[in-house]
Amino acid sequence: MKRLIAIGTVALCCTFGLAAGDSIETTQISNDNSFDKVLQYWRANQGQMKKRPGGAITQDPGGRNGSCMRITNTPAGFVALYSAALIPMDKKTDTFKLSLWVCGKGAFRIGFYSYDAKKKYVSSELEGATAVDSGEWIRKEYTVPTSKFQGNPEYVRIAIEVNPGTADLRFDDFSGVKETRLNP
Amino acid sequence: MKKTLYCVLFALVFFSHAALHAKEYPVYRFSRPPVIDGKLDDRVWKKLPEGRGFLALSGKNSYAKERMTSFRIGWHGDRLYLAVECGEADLRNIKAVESYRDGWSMDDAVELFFLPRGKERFMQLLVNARGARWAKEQGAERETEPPMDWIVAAGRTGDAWTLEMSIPLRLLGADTLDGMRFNIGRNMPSGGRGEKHACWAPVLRGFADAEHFATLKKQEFNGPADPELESHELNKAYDTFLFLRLREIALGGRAYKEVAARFSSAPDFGRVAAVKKKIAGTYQTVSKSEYAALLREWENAVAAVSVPRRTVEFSLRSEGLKNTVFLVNGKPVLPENGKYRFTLEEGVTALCLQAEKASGNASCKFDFKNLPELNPRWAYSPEAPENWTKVDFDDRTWKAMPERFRSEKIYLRQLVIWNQKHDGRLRCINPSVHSWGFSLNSMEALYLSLYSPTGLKVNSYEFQLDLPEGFRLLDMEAGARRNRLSLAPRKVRSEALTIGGKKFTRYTLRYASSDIDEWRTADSLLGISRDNTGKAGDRGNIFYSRRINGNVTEITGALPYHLLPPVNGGKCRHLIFSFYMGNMPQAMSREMTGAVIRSAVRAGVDLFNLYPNKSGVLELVAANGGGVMFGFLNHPIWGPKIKNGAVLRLFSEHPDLYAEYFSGKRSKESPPRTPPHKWRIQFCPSLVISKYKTAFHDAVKEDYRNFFFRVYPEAKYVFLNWEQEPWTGSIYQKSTKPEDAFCFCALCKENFRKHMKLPPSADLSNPVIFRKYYEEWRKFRYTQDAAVHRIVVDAIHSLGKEVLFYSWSNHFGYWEAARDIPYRVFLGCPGNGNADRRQQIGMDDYMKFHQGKLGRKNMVGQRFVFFPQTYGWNTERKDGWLQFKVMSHDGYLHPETWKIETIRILATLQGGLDFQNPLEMAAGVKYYVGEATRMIAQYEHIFWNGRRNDKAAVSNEIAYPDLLVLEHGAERLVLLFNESAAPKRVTLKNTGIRKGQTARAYYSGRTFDNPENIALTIPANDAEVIHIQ
Repeated sequence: MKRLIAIGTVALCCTFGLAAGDSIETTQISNDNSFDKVLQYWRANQGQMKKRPGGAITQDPGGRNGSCMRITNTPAGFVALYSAALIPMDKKTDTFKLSLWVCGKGAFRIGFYSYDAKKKYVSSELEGATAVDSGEWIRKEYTVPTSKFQGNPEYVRIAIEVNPGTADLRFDDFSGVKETRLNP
Repeated sequence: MKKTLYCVLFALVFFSHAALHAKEYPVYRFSRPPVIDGKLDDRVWKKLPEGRGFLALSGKNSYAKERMTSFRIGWHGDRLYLAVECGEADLRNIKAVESYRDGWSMDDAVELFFLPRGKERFMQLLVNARGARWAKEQGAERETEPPMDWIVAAGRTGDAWTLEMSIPLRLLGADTLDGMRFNIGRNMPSGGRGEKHACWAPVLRGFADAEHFATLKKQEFNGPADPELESHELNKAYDTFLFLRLREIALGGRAYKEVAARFSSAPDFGRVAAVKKKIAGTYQTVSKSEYAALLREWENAVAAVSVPRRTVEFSLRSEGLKNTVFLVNGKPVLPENGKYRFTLEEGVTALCLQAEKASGNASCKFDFKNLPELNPRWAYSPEAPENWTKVDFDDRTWKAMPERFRSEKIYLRQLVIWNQKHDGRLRCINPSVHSWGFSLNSMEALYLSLYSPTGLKVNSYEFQLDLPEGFRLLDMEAGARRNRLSLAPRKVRSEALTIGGKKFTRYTLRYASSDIDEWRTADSLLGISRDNTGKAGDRGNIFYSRRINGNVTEITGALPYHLLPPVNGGKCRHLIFSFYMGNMPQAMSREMTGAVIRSAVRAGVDLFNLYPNKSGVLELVAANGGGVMFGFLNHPIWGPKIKNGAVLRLFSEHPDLYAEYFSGKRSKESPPRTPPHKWRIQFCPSLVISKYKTAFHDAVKEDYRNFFFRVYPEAKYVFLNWEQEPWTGSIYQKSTKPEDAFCFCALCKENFRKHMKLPPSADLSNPVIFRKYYEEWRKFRYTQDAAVHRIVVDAIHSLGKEVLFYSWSNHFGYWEAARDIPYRVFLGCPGNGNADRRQQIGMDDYMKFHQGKLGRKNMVGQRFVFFPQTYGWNTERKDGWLQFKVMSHDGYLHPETWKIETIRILATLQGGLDFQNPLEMAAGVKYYVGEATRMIAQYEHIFWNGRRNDKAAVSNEIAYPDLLVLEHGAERLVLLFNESAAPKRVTLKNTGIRKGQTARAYYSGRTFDNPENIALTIPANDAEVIHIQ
C-alpha cells in the first residue's frame, strides 16, 4: 500500500477547492512512487539498454524512508525506465506536474513516452537534463504541458532516462498529478 | 504442467487477496458530480477505478459466473455517489417490484451495507432494478424512511441493468466516508443454484457479515491518472480468474468442448466458433477491464445456440407440382430421400412451401413424423408478397389448403408454436410451477393466458385440454360475458380419447377472436377437479395445445402433475386465516366458485372479505362453512362511500364537516353519476373528534347496521384499509404533491398551533406547513387519524363486530398514534417476500416494534402467492403472460414452502394470515397450508397466548431462525424448519423441562418420554413441531 502514498499530497490538496464544479480536475499518478519494488511497477526499457549496455537499475536500502531506486551508469551506457501506468491524455487540456527526490551525482531526464489511440509508440517527450551533485536528498519539480507534444498522442507513460556518462543516482518518493482543465 | 501452474497462481492470488486481507476501495472526489439518470455515461465515472468480481454466496468462495457485476464509487461534498452495472443477458428476466411497500422481497436488486468508522451498526440500503428503495439501520426496530435526497435512478443497457445514486452521508450516520466499512451485494432471482446472491466483500456469513466488509479509503484527488491500472490493482484475483476462463476457451479446453459437444449442430454455432477465435486472438493483449465483456460475448453466443430446439421431419406426396421450395422462417430446406428435416427453435416458426402447377391435377399431402396435428394446418394463396415467409406476415385472408390446386402458383404457409416445456417463453398456463400438485378429491384453478403468440389479430382461437381419467373440467360457463380477468369461452365441447393407452377427456374451448388481443393478455380460469382415485405421489401429464386461425398450431405441450393427499386443514377459533379479496373479482361459474371456496375452507382458510350485498359468493361461502368479513371502499375512513347513508347525511346537514384540502378547495358533494370509489370527500378530523363526535359515531353505526350487516348479520368482521399518509402518497416516499392532503381549515391549523406550542404570529399558510413543518404536521395528523379511527371502531364494536385493520408494516407513526385502538392489526408482513429463514429475521424485527414497543398482540400477517393478478395490473400489457409475478425466489411457485411459511408467520404475528385471494392457492398450496393450519388449530391456545422463547431449545445442528419456541405456561411448541433439499438430522436439548413432561412430534407422531433430549429427522423442505407438556 505504501506505493499509493504520494508525498506532497497534503500540499496538493491545499490547492483544491470544494466548489460544486471545479475548473481543474486533478488525477493522481500512483505507481510504486516510493520505489519499494524496484522494477515491478516501473519497467526497464530493456531494448534500448541492451543496445548501449553498462548501466543498471537496482533497489537500494538508502532511501529517504526505506528503500529507493538506484541508477548507475558508465560513459557508454544508457539507462531508461518507464512507468506501468498508461495514462490517458488530451493535448488540449492536460498538464503534468511531477516531483521526485534525488541524490548522488550525474544527470538524468524525465518526461514521457507518448502513444496513439491504438497504444502504438509516437514519440519521447523528455525535459532537458537535470544535473545533480549532492549527498543530500533534493527535490526536483517539473511542470509539463502536453500541448507541446508531437503528433496526436492519447496516452503517455512517465519515463526517466540517463544518457551515456558516469552516474550514480538514487531516486525516491516520486509524486505526480495530471491536471485537466475542464470546460466552464 | 502449464495449466497446473496457472491454477496455483490463481489460488495464491485469490487466497492472499480475497481471503486474508480486507479489500480497500479508494473513493475519489468528483470534480463535478454526475447527473443521476441511470445512465453511466458521465465522463467522471470513467475516471474512477472499477470494483468487479462479485463472490457468490454459495459457501464455495468462488466468483459468480452467470452474471457479472461492477461498481464505481466517488464523493463530492457530503455525498457518496455510486454506479452499479449488473450484467443480464436477457433483460426480460428482470424481476423488480415498483416499491417495497410491503417490505423486502427477493428481486433483482443491489444491497449496500455501510458501517461508518466508530459506529457499531451498519446502515443497509436496498435498491432494485426499477429504483425502488428501502433502508434500515442494523438492529433498528423500524426501517428508515428513504429520504428525498437519497437520489436513485435505474437504467438499462443492451445487456445490463444499471443503478446510479447519490447518497447523503447523513443517511449513513457518517461524518466522513474515510475508513467506512462497506459491502455491495447483488440479488439475482433468476440465478441458478449458488448464483442468486453475490457480493464484493469476501464475507463468510452473508452480505451483512460486517467483520469481513471492505473499506472505503477517501481520496482528495479526482481519480487515478490510470484508472485501468488501479482497477486491475483492485481486482487482481478476479482478473486472473477471468483470464484463465478466457484462456480455457481460447485453447479449446473443457469450457469449449462441452459447448461444442452439445450444440455444434445448431445453426448458429458458427457464431460460437467465431467468438472463440476472437478470444484466442485477443485474450493476451486486451486490457483487463475488457475481459468481462469478452467473456460476456462468449456467453451470449452460447446462450443463443442453447435456445431449445427440436428436429421436425415430414414427407411430401405431391402430384402435378414443379419447382417446389420449402422454407423455414424464409430459409430453404432441401429434401433428402424425399424427406424434409429441419430444426424448430422454441417460439413461433413459419413453415412455407411454394410451388408451381405442372399439370392439371395438382395436389399435395404432408405427413409429419409424430406430429400429425400439423398435416392439415396449411393456409393457401395463389399469390404472395415478398414478406410472406415471415412469422409476422398477416395471412388471415388466405384460405384453407384445397384438395386440388387451380392456380398456376401455389403458396402454403403455417405457423408452429413450440415450447420445450410448459413453462417456456410462449407459455399459456400460469403461474409457473415445475409440477402442479392436485390433492385427491379437490380442485385447482389454472390460469389460461389468452394472447396472440404472433402478435397479430386472430380469426379464431381454440384451446385443447386433454385431462387424464380422474380429472374433470368444471363448468366454464360458456358464452358468459365476463371481464378479462376470467374470460369465458364461447363454446366448450368434450370427447373421450386415448393417449398412450390411457383414457383421457379432450375439452375444446373456443374463445371469441375479439377477446384475443394482439398484445394484451386476458385470463380464463380453468377449474379442474380431481376425484379420489389414485394415490398421493402418482404422477402424470395434462396435455394441451392452441389452435389459431386454421394454420397456427401449438405442438402439444405437457403440464406435469402429481397427486397430493386430500386437503386437511384445521379450523381455528381466534386465529384468522382470510382472503381480503375473498369476493374474487375474476368471477367464475357457480360450480367453480363453490369448488374454490370449499377447497379453501378445507385448507383452514375460511374467512372471506366480501362486499356487503347479496351475491352468489356470499351464499356459497355461507353454504360451505366459511366466515364472512365485510368491506366497502373503507367507508367511512376514506370518506363516506354510501349513497344516502347516515355519514353522508351528516355532512349534508353540517357542511362545516367537509375537509379543506391543501389546494384550498372543499369537496362538498358526491358528484352525480360518479361511482363511490371515485368520490373524494373527506371530513375535518378536528370537528369529527370534537363537536360531532357523538353524531359521527352514531352515523357510522347506522351505516354499518343498515348497509353492512343487513344482508348477512352473521358476518363477524369489518375490513378497513389505511394505506394513507397525511401528505398523501405512501410511507415509502416523501410527498411532492400535497394537493390532496387535508384538512387545512382554521380549526385544524389552530389545533396544530397548540399541538406545536407555536406563537399566534407563526406563519401557518399551507405551503409553509408543507415546507417547514412536514414531519410535525404528519405526526399531528396521525393522532387525528387515530382518534377518528377510534370512533369508527367503537361504533362497529357496539354492533358486536370486530375490525381487521390493514396498513403498511412500517407505518410506524400511525401505528404509534393508534396503539390503543382495539382493532385487530393486519400488517403487510411479510407481504411480497417468502416467509423463509431470512424473512423470519425481518418479521421478528418488525415485531420488536409492534409487539415490543406498542405491546400489540395477535396480529394478522399477509402473504401473496402471486401478485397482483387480481387487479389485472400486470397482464393488461405487452407480454402480460410473462408478468405473472410469483412471489418466490425464482419466480416459480413452490407449494411445498407454504407449510413452513404459514407456520413461521403464525409463530411470529400470532394472530392470523391473509392469503389475498382463494384463486392464488394454486398448484398444491392448499394442501401445504392445510398441513400447517391443522397443526396450528390443534395448538391454537399456544399460538394465540404463547410467548416466543427461542433460547429454550438448543442444538448443534439447528438454530434460530430455523428453530423457534413458543411457550405458554408449562406447555411448549418447538418449531423446526428445514429449508434445504436434504433431510436434516437434529439433536435438541430442551431446557427448563419440568418433571413428568413428555413430548410428541406432531407430524411424525413420534413420542418422547424424556423431552430434555430429542433426536429426530426433519424431512427436506419441511417442518416438524414438537409439543411438550
